[in-house]
Amino acid sequence: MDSLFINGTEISPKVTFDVKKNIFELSGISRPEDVVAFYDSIIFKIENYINGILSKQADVKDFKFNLKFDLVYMNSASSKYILQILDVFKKLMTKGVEIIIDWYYEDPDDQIYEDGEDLSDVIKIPFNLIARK
Amino acid sequence: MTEVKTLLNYKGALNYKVLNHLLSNLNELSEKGSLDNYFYKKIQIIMIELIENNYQYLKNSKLAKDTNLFDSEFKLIQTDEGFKIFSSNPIRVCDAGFLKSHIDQINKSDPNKLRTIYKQILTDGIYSSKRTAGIGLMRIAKVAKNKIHYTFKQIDNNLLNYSIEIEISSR
Repeated sequence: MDSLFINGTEISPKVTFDVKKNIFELSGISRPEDVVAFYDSIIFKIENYINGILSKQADVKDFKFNLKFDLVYMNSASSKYILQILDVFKKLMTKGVEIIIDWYYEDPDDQIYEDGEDLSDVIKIPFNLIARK
Repeated sequence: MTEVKTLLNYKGALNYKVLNHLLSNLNELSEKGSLDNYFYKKIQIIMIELIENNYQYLKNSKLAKDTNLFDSEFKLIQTDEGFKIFSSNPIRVCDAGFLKSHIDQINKSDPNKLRTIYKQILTDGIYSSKRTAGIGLMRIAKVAKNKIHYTFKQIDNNLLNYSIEIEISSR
């Protein structure tokens, strides 16, 4: 399966889903005008890839995936779809795959910091909250 | 809270182009030093959530195209204590009940309770058929750390004018 790369715009995030390096990254601003159309195709691609791994590999315990969220702004509609992305990766976690989630923020007073805490609580996966340099 | 100056004032059709234009005006105000980074970030979040929320109600009521008759309004006002955001737009009478009870629930919740409800709605809504998460107004209250004041005024038998006012105080 090919990796997925989408350039960021003033309203939509840059997306990198690199299946060779086992990296998923979302960065920039996430408030796409059609949030469903934007995220559905990304989620579909990730889900297909992960279902493929789970069906082909008997033992995925040595597998590791890095998720990086470096968002400057995220609207409330995007949070629903980011949770769906996290939930798909959670399937791998339940099979013993190590999933590392790095969530970047500029200032601990920013909403994006609280968003990281809230999404981590909702999906029940710990996030590394990292101050952006 | 005394009004000092109106910084943004828009009346007319509401859509994503208008939102982007208002955000660009807000950015200019920040660059000119009319508002510091603390307020800029908060106002940006509230503007986006409020206008996207209002636009959804307009779209649902199929009023988005018929904006000459029912203009939406958005204002950013500087006060002696911080800033005030005002918005108004038409909604269907049938949407008012949910909005009223939703805002009342937000207003009577302390910050901890609000955050708990916010996370519960996110949890319940991950795979719901709704396009959005349904947490926009809660996010506004979380960011502003103030109550949401609202009014509904009758336009005709089918429509109401829904207005919101929210204050953003200094740290």
